[in-house]
Amino acid sequence: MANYIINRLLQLIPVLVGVSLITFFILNLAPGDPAELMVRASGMEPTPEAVASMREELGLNYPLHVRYCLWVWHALHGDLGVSYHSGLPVARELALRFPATLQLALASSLFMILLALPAGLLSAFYNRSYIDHLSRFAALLGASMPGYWLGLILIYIFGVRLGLLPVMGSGTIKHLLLPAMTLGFGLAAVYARLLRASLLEVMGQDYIKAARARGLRERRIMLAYAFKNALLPVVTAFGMSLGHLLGGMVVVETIFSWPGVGRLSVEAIFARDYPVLQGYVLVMALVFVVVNLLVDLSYVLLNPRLRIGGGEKR
Amino acid sequence: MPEREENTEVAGMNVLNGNGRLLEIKDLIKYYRRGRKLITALDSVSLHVDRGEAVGLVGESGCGKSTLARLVLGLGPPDRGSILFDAADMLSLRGEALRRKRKGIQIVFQDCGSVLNPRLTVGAAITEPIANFNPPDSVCLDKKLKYLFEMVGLEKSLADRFPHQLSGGQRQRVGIARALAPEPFMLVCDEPVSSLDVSVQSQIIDLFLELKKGLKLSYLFISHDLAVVNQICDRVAVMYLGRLAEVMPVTELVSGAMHPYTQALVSAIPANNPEKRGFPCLQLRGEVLPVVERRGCLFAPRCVEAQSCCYETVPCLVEISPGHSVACHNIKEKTKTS
Amino acid sequence: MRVENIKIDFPGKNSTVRAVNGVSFAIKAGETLGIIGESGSGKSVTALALLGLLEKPGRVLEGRIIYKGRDVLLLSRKEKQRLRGREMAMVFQDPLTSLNPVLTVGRQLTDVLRRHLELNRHQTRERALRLLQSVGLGNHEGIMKSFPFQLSGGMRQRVMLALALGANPSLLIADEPTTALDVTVQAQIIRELHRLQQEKGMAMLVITHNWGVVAELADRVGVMYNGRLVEYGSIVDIFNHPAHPYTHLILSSVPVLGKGRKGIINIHSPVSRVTLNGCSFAPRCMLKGKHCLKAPLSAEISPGHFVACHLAGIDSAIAVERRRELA
Repeated sequence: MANYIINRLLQLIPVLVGVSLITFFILNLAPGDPAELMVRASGMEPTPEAVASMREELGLNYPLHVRYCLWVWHALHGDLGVSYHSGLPVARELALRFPATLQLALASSLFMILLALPAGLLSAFYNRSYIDHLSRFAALLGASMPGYWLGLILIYIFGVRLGLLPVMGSGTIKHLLLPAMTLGFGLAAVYARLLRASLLEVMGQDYIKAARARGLRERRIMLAYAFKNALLPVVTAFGMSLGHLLGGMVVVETIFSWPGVGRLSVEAIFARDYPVLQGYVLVMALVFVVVNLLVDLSYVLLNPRLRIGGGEKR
Repeated sequence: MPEREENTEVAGMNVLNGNGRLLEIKDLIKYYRRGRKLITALDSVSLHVDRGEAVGLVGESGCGKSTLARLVLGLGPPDRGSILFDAADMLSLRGEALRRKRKGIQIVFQDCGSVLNPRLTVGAAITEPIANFNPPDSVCLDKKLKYLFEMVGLEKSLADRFPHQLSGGQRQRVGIARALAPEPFMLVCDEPVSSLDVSVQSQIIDLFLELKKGLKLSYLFISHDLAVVNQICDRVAVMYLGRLAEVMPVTELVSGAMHPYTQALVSAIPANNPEKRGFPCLQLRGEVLPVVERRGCLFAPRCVEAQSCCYETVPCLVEISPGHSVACHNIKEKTKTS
Repeated sequence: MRVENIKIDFPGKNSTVRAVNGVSFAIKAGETLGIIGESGSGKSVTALALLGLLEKPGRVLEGRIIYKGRDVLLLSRKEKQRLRGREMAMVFQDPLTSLNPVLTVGRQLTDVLRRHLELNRHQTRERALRLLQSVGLGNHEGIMKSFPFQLSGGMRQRVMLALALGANPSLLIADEPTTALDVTVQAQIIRELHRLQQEKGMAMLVITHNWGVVAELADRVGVMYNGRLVEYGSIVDIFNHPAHPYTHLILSSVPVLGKGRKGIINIHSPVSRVTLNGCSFAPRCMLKGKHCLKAPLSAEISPGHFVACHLAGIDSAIAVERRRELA
């Protein structure tokens, strides 16, 4: 087990190298000169001299590969550079915004689980009943509504019409509810359907028939015998769709003015704030890989064959 | 059963090289890797099949039967040893020469239903390997198809059907026709009748016997069913955990089996009559165990006659009578004393 | 247990398949009935119907399944659940797919015990260990903690037996109990089944396509063909005096070690399942005549030996006539 984790962590290195290379070079291919923008931002006329001195100040006059190496060298020391825009260290800026994002991610995952688990279980247990149809309809609705649209609808209903919940900013649980619902609902729809399909497939297996032949109660069969098996594909899919969640975060954070790293990245894009963007992508890649590792570990915990490993002859 | 029409055949007809040995396997070793461990699938297996001879390969699941079949068919290289087929070293041949030789050896699978492409008519499935080895010519192909169908006892009208429209026995016949299409000298049959119902099984066994006589085919016939092997084969080789335990003429199977494992296999066959029930002479301990250490006789832990030497040294195959070899320390003792 | 004239249908989109068509048999306490038939003959479906486990859309059309004086088909869902495992238990063909891959053997075993028996934690564990011992497994503690994939095929089938025997059922249904096993292991499991039945005095229904298994275990045999029981009698009757042409055919098809083949009477033709009228074996039968267009009724040709064939039974006028024709 320890070996497995170390192995996976070592695999992180090439992934991060690749991610940083790609983001660094692609961002530099993008049109627009950050030095010029910076000069403008500071309220001066972008004369060639001013731009040139700004370039020097920002270290943009070195060749690309040298800049990459410098950037990596500093990143390894925890220094992701300084934001062109705010002048603050990128690492600090990300650290300030990260907790809000984490909070939102956890809240929406919780919301997703609370919604998807019962919906999936019920619609598999009462397969083809009205409960099943209802939950499948809701799932279809959830899966086909884009996040930003759902977010706007929720803002309209809860914020504008009912006035129950704040629609912007953060701070209290109330602030958290709408963005978490927006993100969680779409995900819940997908996972409820996935769990239902997976459960139904497992319920058709021989060992379920065998458990029935032993007179076990249906509910017990579903919860103790089928659920764990059915969870395996769902967990795998969850790991795969993490990127989706992170993408959705950017949109939702923007809609609800949530002070997370997602919104930070959007602001950075508009300001051509390369250091912040690079930092964001790097950190997100790290988060993605680590969460994926956690997902895989939970997969190993669920599947005894992986946990104990080998020792079997067909 | 139509005779093989030697002169009217399509181009590229195989010609037998001399007489005697068709397939000769020498000291074949094959390892599989599982994690960091090396699993020995085949351990110095030597076996030969003469022309027109059927050799049965018997053993329990995981004993290396199918691995041997794969190597003989050229699917994957062995780690050591040699395979001579039709007087050619199959392991050193390359390219066109290998392709030509490979034509001479074909396989029949256990479950032809799953091997046939469900979206291809069975006629197309059969002509495909012919076209693969010879330039296609529709008149020729059609003639050939008719001939093959006749040979395996199928009505020609079935050629336009899809695999799922056929019964299990018919599918198996299609599988055999397909294997016969490139005019092989030898068929490797991997449990070809195990998934069939008994009444169909007996028909397919009859077909194998007819083909053997009519086409002078050789078989390497893999099965776990001694009774089936008994009906089709001339010699039988018993494998246990990657090693040959005993090779003997099939006629000696019932009364002349010397290796305790062969004896156990024979005695483990359920009675064919209720008056003989109860496995009176089944002498065997436990099940096939995963091998921790390949030392001594691998069967020793299950053997009721095992002695201390059995756990120490590997018994070699020793010929005790013409065509009958046994790998057992106790047999050596017995033959020495007598 | 008594089964009377059950018919099972599988309604399909276009046509309804009658998987079982009027099958009747009885199993007395402590007795073993073997049901033998080829794939698709309806033998497994019959077994599932006994337990009330027919999967949709299959349904029992008519007939009665009387177990200890009660009709299983009329029981409520709850009552059926109680019956399963407690009174009737089943062993399946493939022990690997029939055991839950993510639960330990111990967990699966204690689940059954706790469901059917009023035992505390400690007693349950004790009983589970004793059960594993009784099916011939050593190292019980270790096996309790292991997952199915860590066991060999034979061990798994023994675990399946332990699971089935957990609550001391009075009827054990074994559906192809040894088909997925190697010959030497098959022999061991057959011995084990025989021993357990003797010890516990339970009734057993063995469903198989293997004559060897029947010969080893059964007291009486039912031969199924195309959803019908074509012959039914004591093991000696069936093996020594088979009366139905189909029984003849498959008995003579079984390869026997050390013997040449017997003459085989066989015409192969696609098995049609639509013929509800007439003898369903007629298309493959060498002895068929014009009478075979009518479905034969099961007739008792000697005490306890029933055959559904017009030609069986020495005294039947049809048989005499047909024999004369054939001669």
